[in-house]
Amino acid sequence: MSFEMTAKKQEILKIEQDLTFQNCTAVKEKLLKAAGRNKQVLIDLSEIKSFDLAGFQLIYSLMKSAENLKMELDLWAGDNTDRFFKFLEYTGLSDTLTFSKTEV
Amino acid sequence: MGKQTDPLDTFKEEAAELLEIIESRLISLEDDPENKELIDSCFRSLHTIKGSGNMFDLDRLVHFTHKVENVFSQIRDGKLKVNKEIIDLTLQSKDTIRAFLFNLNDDEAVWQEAQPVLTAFEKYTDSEAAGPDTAAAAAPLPDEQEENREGPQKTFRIKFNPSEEFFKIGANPLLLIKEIKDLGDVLVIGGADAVPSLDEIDEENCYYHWDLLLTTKKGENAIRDVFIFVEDSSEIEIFEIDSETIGDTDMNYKRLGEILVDRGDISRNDLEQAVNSRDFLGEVLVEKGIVSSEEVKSALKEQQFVRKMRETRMNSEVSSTIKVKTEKLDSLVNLVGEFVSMHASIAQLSEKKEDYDFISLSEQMESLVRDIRDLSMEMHMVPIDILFSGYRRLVRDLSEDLEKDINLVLEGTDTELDKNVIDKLKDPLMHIIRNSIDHGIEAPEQREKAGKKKAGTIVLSAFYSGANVIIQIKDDGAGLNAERIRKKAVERGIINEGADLSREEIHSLIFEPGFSTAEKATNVSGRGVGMDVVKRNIEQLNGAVRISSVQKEGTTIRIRIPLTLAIIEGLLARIGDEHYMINISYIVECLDFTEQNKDSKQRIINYRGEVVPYIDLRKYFRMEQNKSPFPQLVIVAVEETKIGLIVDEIKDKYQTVIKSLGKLFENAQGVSGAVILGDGTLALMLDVDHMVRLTDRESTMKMSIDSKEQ
Repeated sequence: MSFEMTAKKQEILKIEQDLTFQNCTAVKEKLLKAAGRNKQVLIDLSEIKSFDLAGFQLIYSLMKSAENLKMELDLWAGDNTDRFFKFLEYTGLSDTLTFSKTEV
Repeated sequence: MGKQTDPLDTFKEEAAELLEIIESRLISLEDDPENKELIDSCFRSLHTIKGSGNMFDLDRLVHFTHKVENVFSQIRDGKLKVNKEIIDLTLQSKDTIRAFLFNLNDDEAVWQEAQPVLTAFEKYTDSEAAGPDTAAAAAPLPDEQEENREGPQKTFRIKFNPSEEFFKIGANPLLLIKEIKDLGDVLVIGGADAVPSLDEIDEENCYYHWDLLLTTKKGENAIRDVFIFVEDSSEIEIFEIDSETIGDTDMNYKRLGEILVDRGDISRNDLEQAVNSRDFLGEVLVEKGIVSSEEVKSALKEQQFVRKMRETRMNSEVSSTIKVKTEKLDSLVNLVGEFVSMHASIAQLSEKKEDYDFISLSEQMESLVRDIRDLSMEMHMVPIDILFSGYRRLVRDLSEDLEKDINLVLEGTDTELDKNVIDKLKDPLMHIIRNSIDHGIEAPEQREKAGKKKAGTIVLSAFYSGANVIIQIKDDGAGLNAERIRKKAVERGIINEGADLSREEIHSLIFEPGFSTAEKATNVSGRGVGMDVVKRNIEQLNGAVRISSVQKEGTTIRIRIPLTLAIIEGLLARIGDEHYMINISYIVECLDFTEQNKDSKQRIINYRGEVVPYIDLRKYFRMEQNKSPFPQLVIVAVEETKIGLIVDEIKDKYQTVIKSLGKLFENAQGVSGAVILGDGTLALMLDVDHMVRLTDRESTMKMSIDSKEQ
């Protein structure tokens, strides 16, 4: 996991490990730290190889927090966008997450 | 009450149909090996044969089919890729399953023959996927049978609420969703409203829940079976929300409020209060905090889903079909034929009696008879595709055996023809195609030398031409060698050495009994005993076959077949003292015959500016008596060729059933059958094809004489 800043001072949090049940605790820690550091965060999920429902549940939880904390939170999935969308559609959860179309 | 159908016979019939589907899909898979629909179709057909076979305790058939099904299951799961060997083996398996079906009481020989195929399949069998290797295990378990049993189509709402521990116990909702999707049409509505914010979440808990809307013919038990292993770790509620048996013809299903009440999201009291507002119900309920926006969205999705399912169901009900034994349809058509004949008698009697009430009733009845006739004919029509697609495998296998590269192109496959005609065309067409492959299309190296594409093409097409269907078999092979045919025909005493024959007539000699020009007889197209049988079979269908060929370019065989064998509409004509029926589908026009228009020497007539040959049927049938002072001219056409037929009198139009002339008169020239008229007398069916061929031959001979004279 790494982070950097975009031109509009949006912190980019790149998640490079699997977004799965096994990694949820580690990912949650990083997300919590990022949420505490900056009000503008872009989560980069483009490098993720494996994912499952538990992983997406965590991202949705972050979205919910962002709403409560009035954070500006974007999700970027790059080449993963199509895979993620298909997965969420298959599980009937496509309304829960929206991925940004803007290039990082 | 009719005879009860034996369920085993029904199974055999259905399995045979499924095997034909499998064969057709397999041939298509050769060109499109990744096509999921084709793979699924093979799998489903095999699965159904296996499942139904198990109900009849056909252990060997079930075991064998299970093995093949396994291979397709793995292909479906992406563990295996379709290759030529799998297609070859499955085609062989199709033949084996068919052999099992038709040797149920003595399947030992089939079982022995099946062993090499099973052995060859072994390398593709994933032991894990294959399951225990016994016939009993291959068959569905009793529960599975229950699960597989289909009933009326119903729509269920499945509320699936996994416990928070769900992920921790290693359960995966995704697999459950997949299994539900396998049962029918599904709309998955996931709910994430219970997911806490990041600082509150236990990331290992499951907070999601689902509403699954499933439309299926499987019962509730099949759905419960999906959740059997997670019953203790989730709440599962199943509600039947729609069924085809309720007979509700309203496509609109329920309103949003009713759905929300039905789902327990709001009370009826909440609903009554909210509907008084002028705003949208969903918005009001969300604003008042009675329901979440997620619950409203889910209810709206349910409304849309059920509407869509109802719409699909109603559309399919409109076009739903039932299976009727062809024997029953044949009986119906025969009875309708008798009915038509009887009506003709009634009509004749009514005219004779000059009773206008009777005549009026007879006329009303005529309209009904015509409708019943047309309907029964339509019921007997099937698309020619069922005949054509069967030849794909023939071409594939034979071209492989002969090491030729041949493409079969099918055209006009939706052309419909009488089922009985189609059945009777199967062998003649097969023989023609075999001949094309064996003698017509050259070996690849020969084709290349001749400047042709390596792969030969056979185009099998069908199209309507009036009340007939034309079936054409066209190849781009070597074409017929007229010289060689002529020489052979002289050698065999079929024609005299000096016989004056047109090119088409020489080509047509291949239809003579015992004719063969192949340098060596092969086991593919036999020893020249086929084409005469082909011609005879087609003529027995009141059809005709013609051949045209250009050497080095290819051969076209054109078969003309009446749409139906059962009832025809004909024009009754008097020739001398006899009555003849002319099939109305050939008739172009009827005119008064005037001597000025004819040239007796040339036997041609000026028909609307066109020179047309004619036959005086009085002379042809040697009728001396009862000559009419005002003869009539009937212009008939076979495809493009028109001729005139002179008759004494045109009587009336008749719908009638053609009867065979019997063995005694089967060689009678110029007539092809008999019909019984309303008054019980007999009329002969005029063989128009024969008449056209006769004038063709005469004009060819005349042209030949003229050219010699010059």
